[in-house]
Amino acid sequence: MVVKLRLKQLFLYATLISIAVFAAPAAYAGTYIVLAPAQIKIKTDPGSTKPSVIDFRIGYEIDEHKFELAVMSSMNDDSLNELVTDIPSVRSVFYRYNPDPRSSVKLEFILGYSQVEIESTYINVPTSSETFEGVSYGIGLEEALQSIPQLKFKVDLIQMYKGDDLDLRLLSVGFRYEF
Amino acid sequence: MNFKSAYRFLVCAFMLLLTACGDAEKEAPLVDLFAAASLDIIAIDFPAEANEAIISVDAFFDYTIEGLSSNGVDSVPVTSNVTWSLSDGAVSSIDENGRLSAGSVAEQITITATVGHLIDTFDVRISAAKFDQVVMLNSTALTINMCTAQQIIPIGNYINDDGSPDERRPVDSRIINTIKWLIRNAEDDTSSQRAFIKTENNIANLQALQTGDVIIQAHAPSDSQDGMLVTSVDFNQTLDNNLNSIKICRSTDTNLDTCTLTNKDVVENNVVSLMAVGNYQQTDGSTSSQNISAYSKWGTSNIASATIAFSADLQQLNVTGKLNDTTTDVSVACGNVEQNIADADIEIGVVLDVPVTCANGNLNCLQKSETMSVISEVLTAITVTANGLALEDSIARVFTTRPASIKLEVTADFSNSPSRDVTEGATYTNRSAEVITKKTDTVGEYTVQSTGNNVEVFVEFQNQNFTVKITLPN
Repeated sequence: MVVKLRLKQLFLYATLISIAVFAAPAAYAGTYIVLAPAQIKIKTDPGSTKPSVIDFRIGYEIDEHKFELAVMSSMNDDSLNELVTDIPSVRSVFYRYNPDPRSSVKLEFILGYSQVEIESTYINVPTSSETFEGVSYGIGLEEALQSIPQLKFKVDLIQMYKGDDLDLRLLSVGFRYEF
Repeated sequence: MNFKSAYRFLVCAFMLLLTACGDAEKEAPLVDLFAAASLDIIAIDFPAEANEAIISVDAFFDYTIEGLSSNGVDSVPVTSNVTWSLSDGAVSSIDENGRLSAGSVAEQITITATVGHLIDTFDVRISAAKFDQVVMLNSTALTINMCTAQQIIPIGNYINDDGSPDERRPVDSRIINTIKWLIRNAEDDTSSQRAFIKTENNIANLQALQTGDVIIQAHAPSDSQDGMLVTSVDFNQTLDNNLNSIKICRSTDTNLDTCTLTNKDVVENNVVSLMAVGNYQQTDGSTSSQNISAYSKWGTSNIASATIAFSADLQQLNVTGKLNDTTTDVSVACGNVEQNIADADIEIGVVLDVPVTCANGNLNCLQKSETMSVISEVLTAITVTANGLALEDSIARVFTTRPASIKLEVTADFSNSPSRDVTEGATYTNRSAEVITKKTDTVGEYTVQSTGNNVEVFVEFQNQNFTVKITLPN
């Protein structure tokens, strides 16, 4: 069965998650942004490429929970011989759970939903674009800078999409700033 | 971790996972591009010279495709990422390697090869025509030099039951392995050792062992004549010379034009691999060198000093040193040598216990001989283990448990050959007879007595000593 999920459905899930999260009394709450260069590995059985994107996120943190909206756009394409692949856009919603908020190095579990657009160009084949969407999951690590506690260095490893013959994996390394 | 929040997290995760669904159809165009790009090809086709358009019923054929490289010029063989299929309704079948197994009925089929988004087709007729006899040695005229080999594609005549015109095509997989090849010298019609045709894995190779003219006949069972053996017409074939020189090199040498055998030592009980390199004159005036070991004749002057034998693929000659401080002449010749060669040796490779030589003035034979010296191994040290545990010379190794027996294993290290187990060849002197006693049936193994703690055994191999010391618990 093929399920077409549009952005409004993403917001529906986001709302459901938000209700679940915000229903609990909060000891800490605040908004934040994330800016990071990222690499998305397009992996198939015959080969793979690793185009780069700029990863921008805006999120809301409440205790051990975070809710993020991510938008990514192309930074560099990547080639396998004459096949050029690029990722013009990525749209995701992520829920992050940190089981130990007081730890200096925070390990977070990530669950969400992503739409990844891939553009491909090959000899004798018209340039084509396709969007792959599905459940995303992964882990994140972050540590606050001692000089600027609101600024956190972070690394995310996320399986953006796992299909029958195609995997999309994100490696994002950047900073998060809490307001 | 808060149980309530973890529960919420799991509920949400489950809800999202419900919507997860891979979409192979949507992924296919991108995955196909990767399949073609990984091979760096932009088109595929069935090369006509390597594929058959007519196959006999119940026979098989291995189809191949090649790809046009992305530079638009080069052709490359394609063996991976290929999907093979046959037209609907075909009785025949094709496997993942492109092997078409023809069914038992005549039919017209189309083979489709797919590599990613690249597709090509090839029409094949499965024919019920029956093999009659071989009518051509090869689809094209052959030019071959002595001490080289070439694949031949024998052409057979196939007869239709319905009286339709006969077919002439390469003999199929059922027939080619059954052909007995008869080769005679053209000038006197006697049985010839100038050439040999070897068929392996449905591929027939003509091996030219000498120069001269030969007559070749194919002797094969004819389907059209109820399996009766039918001998083909004579096929005349010239075996050219064009051999400028022959030399012996190490099989590990890669530059065949410049290689020479500088190190002629063979360590006793060790193997040195050699190859014969022939330098041939080309029609354009250039020369080229190639390994002609398999089709040359080898000999040795002293088998007590060193023995010689072909490797399994006949591409190298292995010389094994037997008696140190002796020499042997390893000789190789291409052409009609002076020695008598058994017909059976022609098929498996000629290796004689005597030197091979060419008669004086024989322009159709070239030879080369190298004197190999058998040298002794240089022993540098021996090491000993006890029940698998490494020991140090004259330093006691403390065992934490008292074993029922102790088994010593001795390894000798050589500076000019690999280390090897010499347990059988070493001598042992038990200096602790009250603690251990030698077993009679095995070398280097001792039974541990019920009392006594300090084991000492003196081990000697070729003037190298090692004192084993072991401290046993009570």
